[in-house]
Amino acid sequence: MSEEKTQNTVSEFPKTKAVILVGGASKGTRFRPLSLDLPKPLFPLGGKPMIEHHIEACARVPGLMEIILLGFYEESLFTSFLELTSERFGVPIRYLREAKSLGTAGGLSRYSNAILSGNPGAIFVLHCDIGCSFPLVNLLRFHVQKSPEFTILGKVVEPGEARKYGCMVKDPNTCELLHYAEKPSSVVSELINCGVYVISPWILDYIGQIRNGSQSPNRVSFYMNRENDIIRLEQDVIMPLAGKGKIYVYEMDDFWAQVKEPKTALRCSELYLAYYKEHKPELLTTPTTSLRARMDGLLFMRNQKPTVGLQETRLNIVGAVYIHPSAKVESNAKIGPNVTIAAGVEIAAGARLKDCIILEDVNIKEHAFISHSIIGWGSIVDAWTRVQGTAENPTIFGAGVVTEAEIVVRNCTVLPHKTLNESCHQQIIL
Amino acid sequence: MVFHQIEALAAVGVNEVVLAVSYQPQTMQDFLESEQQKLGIKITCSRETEPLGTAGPIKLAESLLNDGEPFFVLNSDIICDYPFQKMLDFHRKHGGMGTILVTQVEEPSKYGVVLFDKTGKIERFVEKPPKFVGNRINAGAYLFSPSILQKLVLRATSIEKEVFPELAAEGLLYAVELDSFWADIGQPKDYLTGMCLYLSNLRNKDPKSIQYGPDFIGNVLVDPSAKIGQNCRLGPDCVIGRDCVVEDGVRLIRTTLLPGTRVKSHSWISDSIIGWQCTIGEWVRIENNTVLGEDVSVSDEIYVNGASVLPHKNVTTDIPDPTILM
Repeated sequence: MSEEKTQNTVSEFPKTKAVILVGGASKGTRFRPLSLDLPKPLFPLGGKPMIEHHIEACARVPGLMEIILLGFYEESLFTSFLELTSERFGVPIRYLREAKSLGTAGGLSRYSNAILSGNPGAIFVLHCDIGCSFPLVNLLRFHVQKSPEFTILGKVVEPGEARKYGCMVKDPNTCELLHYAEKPSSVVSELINCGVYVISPWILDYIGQIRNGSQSPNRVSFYMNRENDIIRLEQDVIMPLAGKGKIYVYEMDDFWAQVKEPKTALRCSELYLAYYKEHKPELLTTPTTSLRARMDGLLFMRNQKPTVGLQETRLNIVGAVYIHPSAKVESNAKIGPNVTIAAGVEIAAGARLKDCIILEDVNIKEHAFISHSIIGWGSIVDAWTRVQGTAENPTIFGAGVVTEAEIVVRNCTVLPHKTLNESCHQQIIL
Repeated sequence: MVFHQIEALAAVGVNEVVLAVSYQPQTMQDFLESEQQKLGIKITCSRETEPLGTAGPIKLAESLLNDGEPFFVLNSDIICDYPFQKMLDFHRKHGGMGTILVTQVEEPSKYGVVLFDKTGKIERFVEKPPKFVGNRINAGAYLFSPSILQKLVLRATSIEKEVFPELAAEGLLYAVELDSFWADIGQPKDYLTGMCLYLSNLRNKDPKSIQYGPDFIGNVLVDPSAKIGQNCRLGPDCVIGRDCVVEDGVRLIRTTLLPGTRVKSHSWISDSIIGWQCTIGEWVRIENNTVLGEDVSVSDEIYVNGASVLPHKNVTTDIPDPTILM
């Protein structure tokens, strides 16, 4: 159900805060080479920084007081992004940097004073590395109705998929969480934990008790990690509280995907674009978005008649595509489906792009062909060059990769600032 | 390929050509008609119903060849600048039964080496010599007196391995040297090499036939009936056949497009032979000695690497590694 269509009043909801767990550089290694030049939370999916989807969804929640990013990345990496985003969505956002990783629950507890200042009635906790429609308003409404200590966003996935995630068993009538298993080796349930929660202040208190030893989660793995002061939300909090009337599961049907390696980013970007096509088509680029207007950086609002550039040739766009207004795309390039093109990109005549993410300032020359690939910042793909991958094994260019004309690059991962002067296949180019 | 030979034969006054074939596709028949008209010579097909090797087919066509005049026998897999007049003159002078065209090669161990004396009289043949014995090899073009027909039988026999050694022993064979390019183009890869040699030779002999302009690089031959779009880059070493259509933004390198083929916009083809009446989609990449048979269609955005595709196939998924598509 689309949240915009439901009438919300502030009084219906408690005051809330949101905490987004962004992790740190040492956690983003599976996302290399793309995380070498940009912290993973800022990597664009569906044309927006990964974390902006979280922030936008939080900002839509009535009564939301503040968004807190919790992680151990260097603070300066997020400063300008957070300033701009805070202003755009009209919500205070701050970054709290952990000195060291305390685990997902440990970090929450360590900063509980900051989180609880202003007395929020409930706190959203969102993992950063996911793509989702984030039905937070509905999640909160459910939380208010059931009034447990902890509500988990859940989704039923394919049986073979479920084991990669936290698997949950809920009471079919009450929706209470009865059992929880993290990445089980056997089939437990097809209902998975989406990594999006609403918790009550009591949960922070509970984690505090685990920290000071007055509350024991009663699990072997907890004691194995004890010396590192690591307390994990899933294994050390959810698991012991399952079946005790404290945790409920809100199940949704919308899209959800975890973003681990670059290939999952491509998939997740596709899911966002498909979601926009269905629910927010105005966010996508259409063939009639006139070229000159786009080059001038003007975006048309829905139902507003464009005043410039009507005579320009239509863009050749197939399916869901997002092109940043500052990108220059020649009219006889063919773009889509599932393509996002970032700011400052130039796409020459006769180029063909599908299933790809093109990052800032990339230059794609005439007749080049790109499919199932992510092209890093400032890379150059020369004329008649073919860069292709597969859904399982996409081609990934780090920043500043340059290809010669007329070569073919298939299923390769290319580290930043490499020059490719001959065709290559299934290689990691260091 | 065979028409280069027919044209060269017509130029030295040959008035009848016999093609010894084991199959005869319709496309060949159409060419024969137009070629007969153009050159004013008679072209007959002599069709084998069972394999006869390289000597048998000559015996099979005996009635057509036995007119008292010497006749040429050419291997159709060979491309070179045939010195037919030189062969005729030499043949009349030496008075032997056969004249064999020989050419110098770098790696004689792959071929049949011909050993001959200063007058050109052939002493013997050495098939694929492991040790160097000479560097002149049989170039696959012969001129015979009709008397050779009595030495042949109507069954599968090899003229090179069974007939020539015997005649050489009797001192009846002479060798004449080819001094232009030569290539055995029986294999696609060799065909492309042969095409390059042919084009560079053509550039020297008939520079007007080579296409010039900003869209052309090196030696490119475009049939006058072919249509070429804008912003293409063609060459080096391309041949674009009759009624071909090459749309905008196409890149071709070392490639032959046989007649009636269409290559759609933005496609890139290198080192390949594209058969008759093929359709190549947009943003296709074809490379690495790919050979497409007649009427093959390749869908948009497909990648084809080193494939051999039999006639009338539709290629709708990538062929990333060399394969034969039946």
